[in-house]
Amino acid sequence: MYAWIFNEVLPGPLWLRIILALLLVAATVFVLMEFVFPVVSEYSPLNDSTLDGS
Amino acid sequence: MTVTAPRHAATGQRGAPPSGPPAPPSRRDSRSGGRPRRRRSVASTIIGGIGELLITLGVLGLLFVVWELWWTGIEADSERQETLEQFYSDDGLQAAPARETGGPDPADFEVCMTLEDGTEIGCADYMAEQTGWDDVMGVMYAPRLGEDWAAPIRHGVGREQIDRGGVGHYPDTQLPGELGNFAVAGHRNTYASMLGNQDALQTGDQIYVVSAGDGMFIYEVAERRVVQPNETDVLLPVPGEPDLEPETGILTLTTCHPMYSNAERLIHHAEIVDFIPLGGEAPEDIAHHEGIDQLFYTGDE
Repeated sequence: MYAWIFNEVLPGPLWLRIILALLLVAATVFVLMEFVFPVVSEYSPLNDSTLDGS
Repeated sequence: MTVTAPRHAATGQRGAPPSGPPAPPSRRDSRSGGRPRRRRSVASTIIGGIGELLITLGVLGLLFVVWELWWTGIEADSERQETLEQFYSDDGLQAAPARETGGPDPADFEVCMTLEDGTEIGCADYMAEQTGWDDVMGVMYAPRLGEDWAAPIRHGVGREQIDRGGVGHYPDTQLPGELGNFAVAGHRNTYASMLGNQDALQTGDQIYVVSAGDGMFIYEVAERRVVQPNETDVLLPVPGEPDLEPETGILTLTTCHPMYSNAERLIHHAEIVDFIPLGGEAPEDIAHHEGIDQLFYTGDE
């Protein structure tokens, strides 16, 4: 899957594809941290530090 | 692929006998013949795909841990600092009396509670009003938890309060200045981990609760407990004693226990020992905090 993205989907010479791939990774991480993980953490047990869930 | 071909040629060359001549042909051979293009079978493509998927899931899991333990802390801590600045900005200090320079100038205050040794404790009327989403009831200082440790106190223990850095006041519990229990909750591991170090508190440590409109309530740590998450009787006016009427004021800190778990709750009870009205002399160990000198005399000027 990743090889296919790198070889077939991304355009340009090798150096451009490396830069684009890094950008893609950075964008993915950012979206995860800003939007996805906050939603997931609703179900995480670490955050409930109160008594009786009040 | 074109990049790898010369390397193959090079190894072929190295493996060849030291006599020079045979080398060039071997290089030419490997280039002209080319590497046989092997098509991946369907099975290996599928298995490879599953492998990539599993690796991706593993990386995602690690990223989530990084986010929860680190990223949430960065966001919450910057909000905590903004909140502190806002708390000590002019808006927040409208209720503070003008202070004469040159020495402590304690303001008159209404006595809400008198301790056994005769110490008079003021009321927390200003704190009682700060119940809005953006309001800060006060700021808590505990020198044992760090020289710069300062936690804004918000009204409520929902995630919209305690995820923003600082601690939250259990709305059903009492206020400083009232007989009973002023109980707060904070995170142990995530969202700036305000109470991450709570277990460092020792009996006799001072905890200060500063209200911009009332003064400073001083508590002394008296007891440490570990309880189950449903043991809410630590929040009672007299912890653990539903039938008793409170005779003094206590502060209760609650957080997760043990670290990186929420199986239990770590509880510290502290008893009120003193009160400093606005304009009075601030205790030395928190006088260096930003904003304290706007409400109290710090001896620096």
